[in-house]
Amino acid sequence: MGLAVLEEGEGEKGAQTTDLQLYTGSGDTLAQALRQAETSQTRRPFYAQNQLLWVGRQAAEQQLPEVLDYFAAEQASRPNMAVYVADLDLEELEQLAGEKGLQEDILRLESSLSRAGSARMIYEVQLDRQGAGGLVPLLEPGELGLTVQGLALYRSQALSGLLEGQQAALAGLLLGQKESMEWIEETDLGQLRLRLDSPTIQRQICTENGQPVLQLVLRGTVRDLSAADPSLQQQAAGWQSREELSRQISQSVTGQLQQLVDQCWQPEGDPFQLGWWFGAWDTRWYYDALDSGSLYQPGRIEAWAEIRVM
Amino acid sequence: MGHKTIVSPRQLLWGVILCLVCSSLISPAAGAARLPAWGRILAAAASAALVWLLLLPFMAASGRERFVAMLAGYGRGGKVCLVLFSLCFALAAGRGLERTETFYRYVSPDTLPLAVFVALLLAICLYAARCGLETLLRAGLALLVLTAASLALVLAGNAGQMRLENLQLPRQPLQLAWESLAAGFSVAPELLLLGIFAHSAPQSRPVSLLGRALTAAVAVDLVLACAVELALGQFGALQVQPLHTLARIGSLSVFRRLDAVHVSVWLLAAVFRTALLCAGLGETLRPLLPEKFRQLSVWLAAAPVLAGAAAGYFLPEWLLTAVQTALVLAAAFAPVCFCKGGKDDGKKRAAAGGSSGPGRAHRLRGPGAG
Repeated sequence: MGLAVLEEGEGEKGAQTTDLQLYTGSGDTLAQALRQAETSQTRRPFYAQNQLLWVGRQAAEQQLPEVLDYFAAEQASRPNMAVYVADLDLEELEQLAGEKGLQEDILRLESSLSRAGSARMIYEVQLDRQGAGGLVPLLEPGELGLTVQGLALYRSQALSGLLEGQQAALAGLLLGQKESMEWIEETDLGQLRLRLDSPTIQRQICTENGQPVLQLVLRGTVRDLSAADPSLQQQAAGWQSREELSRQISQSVTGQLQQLVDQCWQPEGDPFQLGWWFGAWDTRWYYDALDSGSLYQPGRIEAWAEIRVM
Repeated sequence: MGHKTIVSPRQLLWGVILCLVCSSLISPAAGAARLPAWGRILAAAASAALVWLLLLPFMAASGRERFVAMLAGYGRGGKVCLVLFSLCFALAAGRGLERTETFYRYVSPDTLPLAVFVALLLAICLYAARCGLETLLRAGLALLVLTAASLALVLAGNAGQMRLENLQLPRQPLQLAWESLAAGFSVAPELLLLGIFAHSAPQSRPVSLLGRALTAAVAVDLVLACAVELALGQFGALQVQPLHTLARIGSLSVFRRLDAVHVSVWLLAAVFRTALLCAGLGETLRPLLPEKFRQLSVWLAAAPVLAGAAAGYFLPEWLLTAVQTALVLAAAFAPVCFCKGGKDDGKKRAAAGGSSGPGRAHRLRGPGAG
């Protein structure tokens, strides 16, 4: 357990500085470890100002639900504390703190909280519900410091996988937390960097052969695309190229979306709560299918994307 | 008793609505929050309908001459009714003190000692009650506006976090609602104030006021229950104060951590509710006291209110709710029974040719006489 406290002070010539102090503690329980960390410094922590909770590698693999339950129930802290799984142990964290780059990572993450889609709050990660799955952003150390590299996927309260790149971005859209999505796409015209604006995901139940099927349709527009080669950029602006690009991009995103849904649509975990739509359609059918195990059969969800390049 | 206070029926209605809404704001949800919003909708609607039916005879009888005389301690059963009302309001006001202090202790990291807080709160409530019903209700109207603004801010601040998928879908909503109704049914004592103060609000129709108060309270409770579930999902069911949790996580633009503002408004509403119940207690206690102590009836209400607070701290919640509900119903039905009994007696006397002399008519006419 570590308490990272940022203290503001004045440096040379009156410049404002932010120093990081890391206080650590250990114990048989989380409460004991936290108390030991608190008593190793002289001030009383005010947890209401705490915005970040990093769960280290070992705890993330074995104890994440207990950690989340503790801090969710902690009256002093706030349920909208952002949770991250950090691919670190305590020694690595202490080393990072000693290298003086950690406070910049903390400040950067705190400032990103105001932007949509940047974090998951404690109350949003509900792992203790039966059959619930959770997605928690994963922090990894790199050249630019600690950055979010993907989403850790939890099933049956245990870490079961990792979503990276475009899949992590699509997961953010499904969670309703992202207002846009950027990715690099390989097309017939070459490599393009695209940004999907105003994405919406429509969910509706339709019946096929008497069985309900949930249709997920991702719609959005690409107004900003860029290519390394200026000639490619010009070519992509042509009308016929735009139509072809729209078709290719839609096809590619459809594949990624269906793959993501198939990966996450499991009895042990449904992080996007897609099963709810079946319950809203017919509650009795939903509970019967849940009890019999037929709810999570393949083909129950169809996903596709309709993306227009403007 | 001197009833020189005149309030408008609307003021009385808004005051009672604020009292009912206050219960949704500061009472620990615990068990109730575990009930899905869908179940709460059904249970709340059924509960409100049942309360309306149970209190209908009381509201219909209130404001009438015989009822007003009974409130003054005259007529058969007058003192019995006043004792029931006093017990009811003493327990309700005492529990109001306890709940306010519990909520304050929950939301505040640094708190006053229990005895200091309770004494201070009681003094404020009794002073507010002493200022008079009209003053209290006028302040209540301003508080109602503040409370409505606070709740609107909480809802707006959490709108972005609300997801349809967080609504729970119970397997058997009707059974769930029925179990909830059977386990948690209660009658709010502040509803009796609509009948007790009806004579202070000319042209009020207590039956209509009761219906409107219940409808408004149920609507607010349901909106809040749905908002909690939409934003927090099952996380909300684990919260002791789910609405306070909503206030803590909500934000509007750059404004975050507005929970201190919300909590202040809600505590003020809780103070108003307790003060209004103290005013009701003072009103019903006055005719029971010797003449020389009647002017101090509000201050003398401190002792029974403190006894009610002690009961709130030491007795289990289910027992308190059961006793409170029983007292409210007894207080509601007693005047109706005595009024009806008195009417039957009058008919019998008329049939037997007995005369109601001037003294008896004078006693029934006005509270100030005799």
